[in-house]
Amino acid sequence: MMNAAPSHVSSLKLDALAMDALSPQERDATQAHLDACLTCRTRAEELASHRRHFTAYVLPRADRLPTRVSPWGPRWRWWAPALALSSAVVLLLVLVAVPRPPEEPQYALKGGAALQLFAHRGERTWKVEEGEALAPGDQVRFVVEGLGLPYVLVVSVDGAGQVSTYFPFGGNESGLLPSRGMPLEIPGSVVLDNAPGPERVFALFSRKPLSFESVAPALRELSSGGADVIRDRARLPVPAGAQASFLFEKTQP
Amino acid sequence: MSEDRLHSLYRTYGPALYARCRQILGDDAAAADAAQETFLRLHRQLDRAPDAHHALAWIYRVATNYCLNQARDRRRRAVPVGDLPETPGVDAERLLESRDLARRLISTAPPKVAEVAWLHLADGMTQDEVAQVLGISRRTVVNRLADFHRHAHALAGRPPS
Repeated sequence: MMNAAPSHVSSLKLDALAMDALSPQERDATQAHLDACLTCRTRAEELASHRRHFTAYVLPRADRLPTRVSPWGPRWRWWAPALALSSAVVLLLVLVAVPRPPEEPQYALKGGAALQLFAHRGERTWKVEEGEALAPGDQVRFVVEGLGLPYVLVVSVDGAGQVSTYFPFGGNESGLLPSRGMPLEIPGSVVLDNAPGPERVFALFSRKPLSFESVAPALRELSSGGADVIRDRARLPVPAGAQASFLFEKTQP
Repeated sequence: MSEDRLHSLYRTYGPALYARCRQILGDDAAAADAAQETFLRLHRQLDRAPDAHHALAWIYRVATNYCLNQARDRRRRAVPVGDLPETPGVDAERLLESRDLARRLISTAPPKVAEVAWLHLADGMTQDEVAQVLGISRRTVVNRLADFHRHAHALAGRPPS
């Protein structure tokens, strides 16, 4: 038989007590309960122990992050299947102002669609800046944010004329994002090749899947313009509800 | 948002966020990963939260959902269902005291059912508190708890009493 929840103090209230976020009345009542209840004192100590662990061991590593907190933890999940791409990669934040979708996603974020790249080399992981030079062998991952639009297609074009689909990797059409309105780390990473020159990546967000074939002509047209056109053109003339792009340079080995 | 502000938010709310993740995942390294991941998702809400109580509600809402999904994925990959206790014991007192039991039992439930069950049974929230944190009606909370009750007894191979 399922019992009703016992009259203990909730974890939320224990956290609030620790953060001094309770009203004086609630604080006194919670403290009085703790004084009388071994179960809740034990739970409160467990939470406090976890908080101390964070401050002692987790937070210092986060401080080493060069910019924003990375979606990768301290173990840097680079063991994740690195998609051996021939082409290079990406990233960072771009902002294309687009109309908000009519229905508000549960955790909607204000601002534009975004594409971020985080690179990893040896022991170092960092957020890549627009136009930054990356080296052959660098591993990169993407984080996208599409204003609640459910589908994204991540494609790229480089100075050598190579057109690629990074998400879904090698796919023919947009992939469904598992969560709407929140930054999402795209699974897997890509490894940069040694072909030098610019590469521009586009994240194309939409309500319905976009086929690669429907955007390929625009990518090829961009590619045919040469390196300077790839560097200058940050939007693709395709029917995406929102888009973001990022430029990086691939260096000589 | 400036980098300083971001780190300030992480210092302020990171401990509670990590503790939340650690309770559900039961593993330091996985909790550290989850804390960073959920912070990335949450930092704008935390920045706009009018006070710590609202910020904690966001943390509980998003981190609970994320971590239960992680726990479910790990179970799917590596842990056989057979390691569940012979008698699930959907007993609030037991689940409140044993994270391991709560983790093994609750993470097998459907996602929306699991988050309600965790907040009510493993965190000790009232049904009203659960409804408030998740932004759903109390009736929905009651229904999902009943679903969890049936789920737990189905695992035990016996009908709900």
